[in-house]
Amino acid sequence: MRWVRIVFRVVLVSLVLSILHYNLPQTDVVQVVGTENRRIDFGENSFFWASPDVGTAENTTRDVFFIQTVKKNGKPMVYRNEDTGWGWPPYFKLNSHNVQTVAASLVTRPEQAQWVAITHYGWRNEFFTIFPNAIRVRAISGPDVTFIPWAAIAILVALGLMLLILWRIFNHFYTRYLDPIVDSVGDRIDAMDESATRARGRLRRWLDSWRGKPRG
Amino acid sequence: MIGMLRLGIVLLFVNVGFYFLLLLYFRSRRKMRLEQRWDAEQGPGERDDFIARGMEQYSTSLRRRLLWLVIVIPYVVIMVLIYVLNFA
Repeated sequence: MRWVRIVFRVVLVSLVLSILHYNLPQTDVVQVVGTENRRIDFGENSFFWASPDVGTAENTTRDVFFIQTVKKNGKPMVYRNEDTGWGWPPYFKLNSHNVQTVAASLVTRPEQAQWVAITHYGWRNEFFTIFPNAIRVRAISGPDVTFIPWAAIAILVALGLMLLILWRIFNHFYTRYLDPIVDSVGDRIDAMDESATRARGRLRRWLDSWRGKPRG
Repeated sequence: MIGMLRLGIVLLFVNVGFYFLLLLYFRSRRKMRLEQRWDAEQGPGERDDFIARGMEQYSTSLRRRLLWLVIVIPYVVIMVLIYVLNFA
């Protein structure tokens, strides 16, 4: 039983952590080498794609913007650039066309390297063909910039405060209303138990009297 | 626009639910404190009167009146986010 509980907790914690890691914003430093749009037929990976542009129709297939980049370490990174609109995750992104234009204007050239900071959420995974969604693209002076993830910190603090409030509410009502009820029910069960034991004792003694045993 | 409406309505239900949860919580906590204070000092006056008066004071307090912000603030946050993330 102990192992089941441990496994359950590990699964739960890793699920929460991966949901947070997927949805919280991160900033990468990259060079944009190209932009394009491709038609995507969503299949079993459709869970990892956002919504069609706000106001356009919902179809099983649509064109999606992509931003192709190279990271500082020379490895490739491809971002998608989709509206999240009014859905999940709540980035309220309506400007994917503008973001794509900015990305196209910041394509790096052989004579002059252009470094770009891309704020995004999501994961790149080759097994599912999924891409992080670029939220914001902006030019930076050089590759050696560190970003403090203020937005992610603020969201985590807000979530923590929400949990704290809910926990305090639960705790208050539990100790004030549920604990006394549980206590009184427990007392009543104890009392019932006691009287039952006493009654059974009497019955036992009466039965014993028929077997010729002396009454105790 | 349908998407925006759907979000707005769902959020309204969640916010109103949270509003009443907080209202019950604050009221209950206030009542508990009043009970504790009367029990410690054995006064002033009757216990029930003391608590009733304290709860009446709470229902007209600024804190109680500002609780409706719980319903409004999420909408303001979303509007600010839309501006900052798309147009700033």
